[in-house]
Amino acid sequence: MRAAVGNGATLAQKILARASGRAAVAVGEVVVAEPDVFELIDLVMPQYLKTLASHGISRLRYPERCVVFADHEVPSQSVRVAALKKQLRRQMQDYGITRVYGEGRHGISHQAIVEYGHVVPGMLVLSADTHATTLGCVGALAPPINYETIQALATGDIWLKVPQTLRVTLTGRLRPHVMSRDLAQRVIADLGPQLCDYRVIEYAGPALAGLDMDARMTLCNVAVEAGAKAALVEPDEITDAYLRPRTRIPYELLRSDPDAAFHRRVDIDLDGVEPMVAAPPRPDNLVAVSALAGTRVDQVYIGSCAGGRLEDLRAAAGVVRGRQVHGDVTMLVVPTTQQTYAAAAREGLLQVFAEAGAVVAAPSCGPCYGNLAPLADGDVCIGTGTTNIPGRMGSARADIYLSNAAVAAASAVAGAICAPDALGGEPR
Amino acid sequence: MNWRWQGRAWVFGDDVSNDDGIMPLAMTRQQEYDPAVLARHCFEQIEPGFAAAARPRDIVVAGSGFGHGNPHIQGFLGLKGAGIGLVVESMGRGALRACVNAGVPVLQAADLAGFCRTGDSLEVDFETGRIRNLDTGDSRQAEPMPAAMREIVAAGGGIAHMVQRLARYPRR
Repeated sequence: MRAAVGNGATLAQKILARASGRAAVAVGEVVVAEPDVFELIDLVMPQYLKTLASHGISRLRYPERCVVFADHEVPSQSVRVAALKKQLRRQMQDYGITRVYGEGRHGISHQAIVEYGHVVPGMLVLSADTHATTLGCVGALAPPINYETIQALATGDIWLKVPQTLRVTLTGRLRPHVMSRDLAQRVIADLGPQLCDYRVIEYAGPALAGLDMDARMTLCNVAVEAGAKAALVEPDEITDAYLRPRTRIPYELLRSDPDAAFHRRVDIDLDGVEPMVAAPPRPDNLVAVSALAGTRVDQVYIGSCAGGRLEDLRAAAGVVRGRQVHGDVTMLVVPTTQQTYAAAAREGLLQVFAEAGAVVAAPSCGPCYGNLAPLADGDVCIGTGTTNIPGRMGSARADIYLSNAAVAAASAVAGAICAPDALGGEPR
Repeated sequence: MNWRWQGRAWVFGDDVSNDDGIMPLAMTRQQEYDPAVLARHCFEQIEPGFAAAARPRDIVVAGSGFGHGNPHIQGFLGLKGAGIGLVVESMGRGALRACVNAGVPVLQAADLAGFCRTGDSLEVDFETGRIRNLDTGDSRQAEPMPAAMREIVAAGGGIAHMVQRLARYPRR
């Protein structure tokens, strides 16, 4: 790692300067910035709007900047949540919020908002949910602010500290069976929470040419698990090709200046990345798959904003095609968004899962929020969820392992943690 | 607001997680936001006696990585409801924002190991960063709480602060 000093601005500085109406901002200063977009979720909005109403606040500063997604509990699994959602429709009308993706047009907000073209390079997006760092996949700065969204909706702004940036240059190419999740886990384990906390991780380098939008979403998503304030992928031709058909918002491919003052520069060679498993209790607790081989599993989960994309569904289907999920295992497949779900259907992936004995559920945060298919005491789950903190997927006395989708799928077949190439035998 | 607090120490180690550490994740799933209700569940899984015995102006003293994981607000709203102040070795960005937003005063000080034991009397000045153990005479100097954060805590938390700010805003 090398420190670099320069006079230019990082992408994060450029975005925060524009959003706070300044020519330039210095690292470390606190600015009051107005976001371009508020990324919102249906589960917490009823409470947020009710709280505003209880303080006599009857209008939002920028209702036209709000985009709302159904995602945490779709469809509703209790009368309580059903009633909240019913009430939310009226609340949003009262507050002039019109950009709403309800059930059936929904998806986990952090991916769906990009798919629907609401986010472009250089934007500042505030989110009510933690994994908003995902939006850095198109070069937008999206620090999660969670509960503070209430205030930001009313005032139209928020205080933000101008962060330092860690510049991660990616070289080489991922080897077969190594996925973007492996790279993302490797990055947070290498950098560590000490280095990532309150900083932006910015990805650049020649290897980006081989990383599509799915991979970029994963890289930016996982960054928050190391405490990063946000993650950014330097926008390029892939960004442009992805966004052109999806958005009418004008944008330019805004980047950090070559002489920007990065806190550190780190090089990572993709050729050296191996599939690894994050063992409990932290996402950066990486262990070789072979070291855990044979660990019994009860549940396998392909889904979440960290791992239910087409890349993941294809990899998992590739493993279970012609095979059967082990009789003692529940394998859950939850595509991240409705668009992913439709694409998986077109490719025949859902058929592969159904025939292999997996359960395919509607897009939602579901198992990774712990409300769908909760784990019981003593259960072991391996999958592509966002975190393995005890209790995240149900019982705090269940063990959660995180891996790429292929390793998780192979473990579903074996009934124990297993690398895909160790499954043995030809698919039937 | 008086930033100099006197209270008893409650000592925790490193890596107290937010979910199921400070507060049962079930409270988040139930969407409970009432500080008084949440106060009764603080540290329920890791220090079951805390909620019943803690008094306002007591100080939770913890190691590094306090409140790690998803920065759900419920844990910090619970601490607010219980009237607790925090002195920790370190705290990530998400937890720190949630803490200030909930209206809980906090200091970050290096090297708290061995500084105090649960039950010791502490004096903590969140404005100057001065921390004293009144039982042992030992002291630490933390970074003072930045003025911008104290303004939010003094208002009673982010929402009360918002109401104050909106009163000064031009209508759009």
